[in-house]
Order: sequence, then structure tokens, then C-alpha cells
Amino acid sequence: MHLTQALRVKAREDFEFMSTHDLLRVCNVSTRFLTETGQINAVEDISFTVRDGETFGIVGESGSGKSVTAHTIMGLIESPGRITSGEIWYRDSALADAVGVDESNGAFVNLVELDAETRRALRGPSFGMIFQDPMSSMDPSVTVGEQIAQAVEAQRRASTNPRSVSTRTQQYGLMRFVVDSLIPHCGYVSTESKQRAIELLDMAGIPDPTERAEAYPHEFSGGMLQRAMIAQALAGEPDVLVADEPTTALDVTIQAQILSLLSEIQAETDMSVILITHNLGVIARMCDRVGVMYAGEIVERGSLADIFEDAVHPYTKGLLGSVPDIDTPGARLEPVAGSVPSLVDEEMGERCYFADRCPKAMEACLDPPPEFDADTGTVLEDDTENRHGVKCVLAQRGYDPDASVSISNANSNSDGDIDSDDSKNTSADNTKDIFNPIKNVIKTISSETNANANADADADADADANPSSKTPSGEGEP
Amino acid sequence: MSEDTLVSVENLKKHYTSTKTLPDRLFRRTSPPIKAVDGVSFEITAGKTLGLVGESGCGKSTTGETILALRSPTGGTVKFDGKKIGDLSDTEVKNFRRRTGMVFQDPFASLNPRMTAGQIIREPLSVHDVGTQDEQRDRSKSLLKRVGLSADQYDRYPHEFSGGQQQRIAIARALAVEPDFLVLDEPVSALDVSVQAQILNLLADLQTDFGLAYLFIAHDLSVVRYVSDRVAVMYLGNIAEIGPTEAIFERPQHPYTKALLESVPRARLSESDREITTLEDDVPSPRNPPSGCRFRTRCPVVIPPTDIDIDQTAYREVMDLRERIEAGTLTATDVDSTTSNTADAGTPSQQSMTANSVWPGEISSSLHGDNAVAVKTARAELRDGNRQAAIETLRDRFETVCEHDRPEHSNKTHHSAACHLRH
Repeated sequence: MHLTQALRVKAREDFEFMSTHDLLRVCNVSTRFLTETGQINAVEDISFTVRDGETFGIVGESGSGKSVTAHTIMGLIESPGRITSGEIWYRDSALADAVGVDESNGAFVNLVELDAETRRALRGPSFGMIFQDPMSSMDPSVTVGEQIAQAVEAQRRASTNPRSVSTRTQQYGLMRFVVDSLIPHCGYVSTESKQRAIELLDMAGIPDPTERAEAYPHEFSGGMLQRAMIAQALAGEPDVLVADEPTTALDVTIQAQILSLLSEIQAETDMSVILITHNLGVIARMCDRVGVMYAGEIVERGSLADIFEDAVHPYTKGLLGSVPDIDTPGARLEPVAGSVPSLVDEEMGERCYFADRCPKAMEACLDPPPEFDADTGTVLEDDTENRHGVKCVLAQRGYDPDASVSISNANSNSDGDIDSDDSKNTSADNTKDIFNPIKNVIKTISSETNANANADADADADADANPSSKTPSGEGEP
Repeated sequence: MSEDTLVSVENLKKHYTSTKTLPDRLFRRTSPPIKAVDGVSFEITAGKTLGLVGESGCGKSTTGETILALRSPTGGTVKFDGKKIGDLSDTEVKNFRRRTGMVFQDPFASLNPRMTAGQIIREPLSVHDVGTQDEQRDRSKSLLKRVGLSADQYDRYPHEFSGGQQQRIAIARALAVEPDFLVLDEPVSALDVSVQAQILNLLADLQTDFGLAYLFIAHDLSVVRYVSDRVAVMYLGNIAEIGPTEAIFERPQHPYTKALLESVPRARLSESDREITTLEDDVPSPRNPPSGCRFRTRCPVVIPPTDIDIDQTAYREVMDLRERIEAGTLTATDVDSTTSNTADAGTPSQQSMTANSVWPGEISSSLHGDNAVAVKTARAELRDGNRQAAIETLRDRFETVCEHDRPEHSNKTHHSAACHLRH
């Protein structure tokens, strides 16, 4: 599919040539989950913008808040989760007129302030989503064609009633449902919708779409089902497509097919894509700009070149150092020691969240870092120009070995509150021995709390990789 | 077989047959077996790593499990240290089990949730009666340290560890009885990248320290390149290509290896401008694998018969068409409807989207002479409901060496690809 590449290059030229209008501005959004075990800061003060027709990538390890970010944008956060602060501005003049915002913001509407019904009305024509596991995202008891036709039908019924502040399937009442169910050939979906579903399947590259539309999800292979899900997401012709790990469950040759398909569709429809993945290769292949997430924060963001060639944050560097290169394998990988921390509020502490794993932690890291402009070293206030932003003091000053601290020591001096548990285990062997008795007590407590924590990262709370001298972590030390 | 060969696998086969139910017996229904592994041969040198790579369902894991005698092979032999596995006596089997070990993909599922880390690591020691209770405890504690955990985590349960730590415990368990050979079945694919790198480094250290041989099963090619001395690429139960890591990655010879390498997205800036040719379609079912070369249904360089003049793209399209007719997915009604579709095919971009649903009208435009005649005849026959005749017509004209001869490996020791293009 060389065509794909040509289309991509063309799309990029168009993109640079054309306007660089922001379509979506996410400003200082925090999403929290209030669970029995405490508040979980799944997404913490993140900001990024998505422009027309571009692909914005979000990369991070599991438990770093990538998927919650996707759900936040889609408006799919449900209790006990809540968007606690921040704004999500979405440019849509029709919607702006409908909800009556003032003109000073251009045509931007703050999605966080909209009521649930309106958010729901936006899903489909404005926001579409592809999920990671195609098998569990489709209804196993309904044929694939029918499911996609339902999505089409929902859009069709809604568009006769132009985007309004009402539920999409409003006209479809109980009476109609009963009649449709009793009388055959009078189902929810019309023949036109079914025809459109077949077209969409064809567009998503499914061979023999007419026959495949009659098949059930279990009769599809993983790659084909992912194509079907893309077709379904395209039913509403969305402006923004949120793809949450779209290729993680797929084999590498199928992954290549799906990525090509996404690029082709994007080049054709000029929609914006928010691509969430843990695979840096996929990011490099697909994205124009990238945000790197760690512990609920976007620790670094910028263009592809900013992240891959000019990374400032030690975590970004560590992530890049963890991936074996297929073309030029190095002697040894240089990963980040430890693993993703817990996101439970009271265990996070007021400091740079990465400091306990960071090979370059300094005294300044004991305060939460603001977002700096990586080029100038100034604090980034209102980022409208899509600068290379990084939440790390290294953007401002060089690494000073004299000021280096092992965060673990600093914490254990402050009479070892629970959040120091993580870090203490990564400390040098001699200190570890001294604190062993205390640590064990603390560990038991924290592991008990964590066993119940309903967060992705629960097990990781006490995820002290506790590196022996042989494991790579030691090498990261200056 | 060279002197330091530890494991030698010769024409190994593992077929799964579905159990027959009463109605099956009554009506004498038989279903073809699933040929998960269908004749693989390779050798593993002591202290070295063989990487086994392939897509899901290609038989990687079955190969690993059959080598360790966790499944009985349908055919072929596995020799460990010169002795054939199937012929071992009971004591020899126990000894074989002591000298081998396995690490599974999902660390949490492979650790007993009701045992502590210490008990888990001690279990193989007590099974094989190694040392006294105290010695066993000391040994498990030192193993915990060796894999990068601390001895005071001895009494903790698997759920209290993170994924990476659980995998460390599984590795410690496999090392407990000082094996010579480990089968690592996707040991890092369930882990995050930074943790994955830690485990890979750990495995490399352990190999140097204990002189372990690994069979490293993975689907991630960059990981395989990083850990392996030799690599075998599997496709549908066969080994498509085997050779030294360097040779496989720098000079791949099998079209499947090439396609696989090309599909891996590289984590670097130039990636977005790298042109790749993606393989079409999915892996065929191992229940009914293609005849001859297993890869021929997706192969971009399938070999046309020598006596006809046809360009490669057109030939690939003809072969796809043949498969669809033979599989019965292209029927008389399709021929009619696709013909009418071509008339109002819409925008060119739409056509490109549907490029993989080949229709006879398009193919014949890129063919000429006798080739075009054969396709047209077949199409007419199909339209008249004579599917068998259409199949025959196309086969007579376009039958390839790839479909009636199974390619053999040229030699068993060095770099070898099972592809007709090599001969």
C-alpha cells in the first residue's frame, strides 16, 4: 500500500500549508475517582491541543492515565469518577450557536460545562472512539452488519433533527420498538442504513462486505473485527477519532494493515485522531505531535521531533531507552528502574512524581514542577502555540550532581510517611537494611490498602523493583 | 549434530483432533485435525538462545510445550542431551524435568495465588528432594535476591507484587533446580516497556552466569533480535526461515520474514516516512492450511509458471481470485453484482479502498493474451454456475510451483529459508 504513504505525505503538506486551527483544547483537566480506599488522581492537570486533521499521540505505560484521558475527552467518565477541574474546548460553530456561548471564544464550547444529553449527542458526529479489544467491544449476539447499521441509523435519525440538545434516539419510542419487534422486516434499522453499513465495511477494507455483514463477531478474526469497529466509529463521520490502543491486541502484520487503514481514512476525511498507545513505534509511525504520560500527568509534549530527538524529561528518555531497536541492536537496554507508582492521592505526595525513579533527581524535585518551555526554560503559562513543554526542572537548569538527592533518603528523614514506601526500596543497600523493620510494617499497611484499591495501578503501589546491583537500574546512576 | 547441541528437534509435528461426540460417530463425521506444528526441525546449542518468532496461532507455544514433553508429539523426535524424550524411563524423565524449566506469558496466572513467593520458589526443590528444609529456604531467598527482589519479600503473596515482580518470581522458580534449558514463552509481552527491558536484562545476566540455553518464544521482533543468537521464524506450523540473528535481520531471504520485519514500526523519527508494503489478509486457518508453501496465499512474490508471461501484481490478483473461487466466497451472484458495480464505481479513492476485494473485471484489464482469455472463460463459467470448471480453467493456466511443492530447507545448520525462490 504505497498509496498510503503518498496520501500521508500529501496530508502533511496540506496540513502545513493550510491553517493550523485548533480543534480541541484540553486545559488543565483533572479526573479523579473517589473510591472507598481514597481519591485516585487518574488524570492530573493535563493540557494539550489537537488541530484539524492531525494525529496527536498519547504514550505511556499501563496505569499512567491514558485511557482515562480518552474517556474524559469522550465524556464517558462515570461515577465514582469525576472531572474535577479544567476545561475542554471544542470548536464547533453550530454547537456554539445552539448552546449560546459568547463570541469572544471564537466558536469554542467548553465540553465540561455541557449537560449529559448534549455530550451524548456529540458522540458519533463529533467524537468517535475505537477500543482496544475488538472482541469485547462488539455485541456477540448481533451480526456485525446490524451493529454498524444501528450506529448509522442513530446518526441518520439524529441528522434529520439537526444537532440539537436532545437525545439522538428520541423519536424512537417504546411503542415503535414493540411494533418493530413484532412485525418482521420493520426493525430499528432501515435498508438504507444496512446498505451504508456495507459501504462502511468495504471502506474499512473488509473483503466481501455483503456476506461478512451477516456474520457474527466470533466469525471474524481480530484484525477484521478491528476494521469493523473502525467502520462503526466512522458511521457518524466524526471530527475527532479517539483510538485507544487500536492495535495492541493484533499481530504485527495486521497492525501494519490497520495503521495504513487509519492513515488512509484520515487523509480522506481530514479528521483529527487522538491515538493512545504504549508502543513508541506506532507513535513514530502515525503521529504529528505527542504527549508522554506518567502517573496521570503529561510530563512532556511536543512535536514528534521534540520527543524522539530532543527529549528533556528523564522519563521520556528512559522510555525510549527501554525499546530494543530492531535495526541496530545496542549492547544493553537502559530502562527506568522501578515501575509506575500508585495514583492514590494520599500516597502521591507533593513532589515530582517521577523523582523516586529518576536518575537525575535534585533538591528542586521535591516540589511539584510546573510545565516549562523546553527551548527557553521559562514557565509555560498558556500554551496556544504548541510549544515543546516539559514538567521537569531540567528544562530550566542543567543537572547538578552536587544538588542531587536520593528522594528516598529525604523522605525517610521526614519520619517515613506512607508515600515514602516506594522510594525507600529503591535506595542503596545500606540504607535499606537500616530501614528494613520500619519498611516492612509500612509495606504491610500499604499493601493492604492497595489490595483493595480499585485503580489500574493497584499492584504497582508497592512495585519496588528493588534493583540488585546486577539489574540495569544501577547503571542509570551518575 | 555438533557436540554442544543440547536440544535437537527433528520434524516435530503436533496435530490436534477434536474429540468425537456420539452424533459424530453415528454419522461418521470427521473434522480435519488442526495442524498446530507441522514438521519443524531445529537445534539449540548449550548456553545459547534460539528465538522463535511468529504471529499468533503459528504454533510457537505448542512447539515449546511439546519440546518439554508437556504435550505428546504427533510425529517427529525431540532429543535432549542426545537422548530421545519419548524413550526416557521414569527416573530419566524426572531428571529431564529437573534440567528443564518454563516461564509463561502471564505471570499472575502461572503463580499459585494461595502460596507465598517463597513457597512457590521452594516447590520445585521439594519435588526433586534437593537439600534440607533450611537449605531450601536459604536457596529460595538467595534466588529472590538473584532475580532482583529482596529476601524479605519471601512471605508475600503473588497479588502483592507488580507484573514485573511476578515474572521475576516465575523466573526464580524456573531457576530453582539449576536447569540447563528454559523455554521462555512470551515472558515479557504482558509487561510495560520499562519493566520489559529490566526483565530482558535480567534474563541476559542469568544466561551468562548459569550457562542457560533458552528457547525464547515471542511475537515482538525487536525483543527477539535483542536476546537471540539464532532465530527461527514460524508461519502456520512451519519454520519459514532459520539462521543466525544477524543474518535473519540483515539479510532475510523468505518473503514472510521480509514482510514481518517491514511491518514493525520503528521507534524513531524517520519512521513516519518509511514506506512499507503491508501483507494482505489474515493468516489462514491451521485446520485447512494451503497446500505447498503455507505462505503462498499472502506471498507478494508468488512464483508464476515459467511458461506464461505475466507481471507480479496481476499474478497476485489472479491467485487471490482463485482462492476466493476455491473457498466459495466468490459466487455466481457476485460476478453479476461486481460487474454492475464496476460500471458506476464512484470515486477513484473508493476503488482503492476496495482494492483487496478483487473483482474479475479489474483483473482482466491488467491481463492480456491467453491470460485474459483464461480469466474471462473462468468468469463465464462461474456465472453459469459451473464453479468446478472455473477452478479447473484457472488452475490449468496459472498453477504455480508454490502450491504443489512444499519448499524444503536447503540446509539444516546455517541460514536457511523454506522458499522456492531460493532454488
